[in-house]
Amino acid sequence: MSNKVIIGALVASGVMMSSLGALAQEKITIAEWGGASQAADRAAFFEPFTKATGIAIVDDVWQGDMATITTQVETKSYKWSLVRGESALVKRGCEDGTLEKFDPAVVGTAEKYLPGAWSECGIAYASFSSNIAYNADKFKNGAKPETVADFFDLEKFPGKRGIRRNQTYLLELALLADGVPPADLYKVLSTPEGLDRVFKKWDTIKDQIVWWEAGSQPPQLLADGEVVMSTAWGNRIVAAQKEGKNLQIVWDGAGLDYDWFMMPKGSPDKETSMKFIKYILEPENAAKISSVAPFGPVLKAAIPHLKPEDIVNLPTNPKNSKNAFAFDADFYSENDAELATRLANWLQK
Amino acid sequence: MTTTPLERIAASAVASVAIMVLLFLIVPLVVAVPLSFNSEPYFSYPMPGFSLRWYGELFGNDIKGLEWRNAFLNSVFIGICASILATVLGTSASLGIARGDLPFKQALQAMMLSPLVIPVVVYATGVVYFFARISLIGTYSGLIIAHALLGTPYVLITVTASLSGFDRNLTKAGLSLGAPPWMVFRKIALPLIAPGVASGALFAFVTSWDEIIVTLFLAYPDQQTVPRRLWAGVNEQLSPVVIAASTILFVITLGLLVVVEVLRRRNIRLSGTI
Amino acid sequence: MSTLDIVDDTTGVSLDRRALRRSLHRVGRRQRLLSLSLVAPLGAFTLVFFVIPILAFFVFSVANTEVPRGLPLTTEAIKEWQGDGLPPEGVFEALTSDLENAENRTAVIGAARRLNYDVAGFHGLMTKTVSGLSRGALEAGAPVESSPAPDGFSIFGNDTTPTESTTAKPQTPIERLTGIDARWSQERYWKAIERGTWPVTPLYLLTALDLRIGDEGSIERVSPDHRIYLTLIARTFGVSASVTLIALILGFPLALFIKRQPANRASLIMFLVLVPLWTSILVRTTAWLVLLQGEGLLNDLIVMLHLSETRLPLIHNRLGVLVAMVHICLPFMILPIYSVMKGIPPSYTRAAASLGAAPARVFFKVYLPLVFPGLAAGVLLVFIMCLGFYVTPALVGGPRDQMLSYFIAMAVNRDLNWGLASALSIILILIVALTLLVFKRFASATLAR
Repeated sequence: MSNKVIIGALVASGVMMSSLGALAQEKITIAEWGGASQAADRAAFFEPFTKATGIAIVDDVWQGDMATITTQVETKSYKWSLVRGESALVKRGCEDGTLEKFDPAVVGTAEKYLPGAWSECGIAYASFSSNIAYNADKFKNGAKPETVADFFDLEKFPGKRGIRRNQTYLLELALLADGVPPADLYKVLSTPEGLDRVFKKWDTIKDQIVWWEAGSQPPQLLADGEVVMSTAWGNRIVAAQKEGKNLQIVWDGAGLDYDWFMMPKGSPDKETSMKFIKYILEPENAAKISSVAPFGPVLKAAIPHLKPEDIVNLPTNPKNSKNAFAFDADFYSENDAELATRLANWLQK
Repeated sequence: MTTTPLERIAASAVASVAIMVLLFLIVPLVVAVPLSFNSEPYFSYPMPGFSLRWYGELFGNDIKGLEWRNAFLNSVFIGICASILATVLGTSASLGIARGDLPFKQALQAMMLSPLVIPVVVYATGVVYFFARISLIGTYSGLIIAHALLGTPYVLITVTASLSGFDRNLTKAGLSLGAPPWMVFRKIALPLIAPGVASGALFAFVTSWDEIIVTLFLAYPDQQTVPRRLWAGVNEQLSPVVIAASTILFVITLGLLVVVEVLRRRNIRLSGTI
Repeated sequence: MSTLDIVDDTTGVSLDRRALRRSLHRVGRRQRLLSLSLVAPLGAFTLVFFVIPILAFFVFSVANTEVPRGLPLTTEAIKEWQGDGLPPEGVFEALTSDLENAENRTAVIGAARRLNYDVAGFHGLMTKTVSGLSRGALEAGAPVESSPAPDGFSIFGNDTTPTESTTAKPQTPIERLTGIDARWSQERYWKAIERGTWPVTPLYLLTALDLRIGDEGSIERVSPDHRIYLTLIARTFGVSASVTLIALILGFPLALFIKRQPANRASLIMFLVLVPLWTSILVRTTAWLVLLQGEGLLNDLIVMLHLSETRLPLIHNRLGVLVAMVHICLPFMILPIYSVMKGIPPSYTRAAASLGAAPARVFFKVYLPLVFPGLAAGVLLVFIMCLGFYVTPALVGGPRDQMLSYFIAMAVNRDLNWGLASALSIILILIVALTLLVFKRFASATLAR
């Protein structure tokens, strides 16, 4: 090898480095959940925001492991400027002191938002649902799944079931199928017997379960026929329907929650991130998410901006939410570590 | 040579097992390739039609194509830097070891080769905390250092091997004739060990090019590499775009190997005629 | 170059012996220093960016700093406690002040996380107590009066009753804590805090072996539904051994076959063996996913050929993991075997055969011992590689096919349990080291024979 080759390689890498550097501009990084819901945020918020302000938004993907935020905060090495997540994560991060607190003068106080959609550590911006979904092509003739109990009925509906490898929704689903009314879910879950009941119920279909971790997996698992039924986030199924896939949502036993943006404590991008937060809190901007995907508005002032067709598919629409329940953020933030261990251990048995 | 029937049976048994194993090695690599040209996003044969749309997505100007191309640039850049770093450090160390009078040789060698046997996840978890403390996490430098480190044992091994057949009297002669040490190294030692250095550098590059675990732990969104994107693709949504990207990588690998093989044959021919 | 002059001169010119020895010594030292300075950059690089991070990571397996940092007053106060019955009131009081210290919230939560590793549910108990104490202090702020929202948008339906009854503030710290949660009147939670104040903790290493410190202070096995790590260690070992064995059984005939081919064809086959080796692991794993899925190509073929009526589960189980891992490991088995085979002159086996030995006897008594170093190298290489596998089982395996590496990553990424990750890493490294040691003994024993 001659010097020329080495020098050439160095020059080439230098050129490449500067071309990478050219991409640098004012930007924030937002941790999203991949797939359709990420695309919805991108279409409703990120792209218009970048067009309006010139601030670029890089989106990353995470799966809700709060530990990853804690590590960033503890070591002061920030990967994400903002993070999308559900109520329990905001509550837990707030209690753990890993989230930045928002100034009420900027983001407003609780009365601007729907009930339960305000926290000092996060900005709720959408309501969404966890559902059971099925591939309607697999049930062409005969009965279609309609209730939570059908999910556990292997005789009536044989085939694999897809389930998120996470305690959220897995616990509630088993109890609902076991006959616990939605209002009593967390009363039962707070007892050791209640948890035993959950895993005993899952034991009945354990060998038919295909576990998923990323939200974009269930529509694919269903469409590919790898599973006949799966838990899924409702908006992903609606997105798959738009792509022409014959997937259907079972509205019985839907789990409702709010989606939030939170900020890792001490984030160096705070100022830029707040520009984004202010942008999505403008009522007409906030309403946009409901027109690109079935996410309900959270800001009261945004509700009048919704078009009638946006409301039909909303998980909070009374026709959909008849037998729904809301996830209990308190229960999850308090017991999360224990529940995660319990599930992980059960998976190994 | 005479063969008994038994031997012939044994030989054909070996041959049939060998061919099946060979198929097992190769078929999975190529069977998915045509699916990247499928006009529909399904993974089954027969394909309804031929299309380049998935490659179009890779090279397109929307955000997906941009991300893939950025990942490719990152992989090449990190790979080249890591390879240069590993090659310089590894070659220098090999020269030191080959001199034969190194104190604590055994211990030093064991330490420098240890990245080969320590499971990468252990290294990744260890280094993520350490790098976070010294602000190397989520930086190109951090990734380059970690990737180079995983590549150095290969350089060490290949260069040491090429030095083992190296006659040290040649450099001694050069030195005694009054040539400065750097000149002796460049004009005498380097050409002789060049094949070892080159294959070490190649190994180091491929180590980085293919690395995923350390990247998963250390890389921030800015430093997405091709394996990191493939990982996300496999984990989230196994789309034909992932297969298309895999196919491109596979073709690059194939090309590299062919080049290496041609060079090797040329080498053999040249050294045969000399 | 004066040093070299002296060396060269030593042959001819007579010199003072002592001066000679001294200068030789000096030369030797300078030479050694030169060698050392050539090696030093890589040595330092490996030390700083490899050895030190890993050693520092290993310290986590016994580190026990969270409780003293999060609960400094309690740590001090609990020293007074003898360990029988509930701790004295001073400890309750100290804990109350520690938990009420909002400045130190992150450290308090760190302590809660640490205590939760010891006694499940401790994290929940601590967060509940922290919010209980602050609520008591605030005397329940007036509920926010919210203007009514249009129906059909709240996730809580339309009747929201966020009322919460506040109880009268109890007097003593004991009453306050046990009033928030009755678990504070159980000894085991206090014992866990006390164990958290030890300078080092055996907790993580014990956990990694399915053991714990019982309430009586003795080491006992954890309850059956928490016993997962011994199984995990056995699984890691078992999967690695199976993959190594399968790779050996498949790789040996192929190596033998290549060896018997004419040179040109042999190098072509070697090329085919090298192609998968140089192909990215992720590309190969993707290929296996496409092949083995329920709706994948192999199942298509199986159904088409009517080999099975239903589609077979080939992936996300042990079978998928073994197949994909063998595929990745095979070249590493074939290469060392083949390179040793290539070095064996055919005259050896021919000699044995001409002396009248039966072919089978020649193979087992002459050929196999000659190839043995290659087999041993392949087995060692593949086995050690397998022990650390992470990507392939994570992508093609189910929950019960994951190996130690996966749990190490999960402990850090999901649970923030650096201690357990470190303890599991130590176990993994010990297995690797033990394997190397056994092989070394084994190899030297066979060589001696």
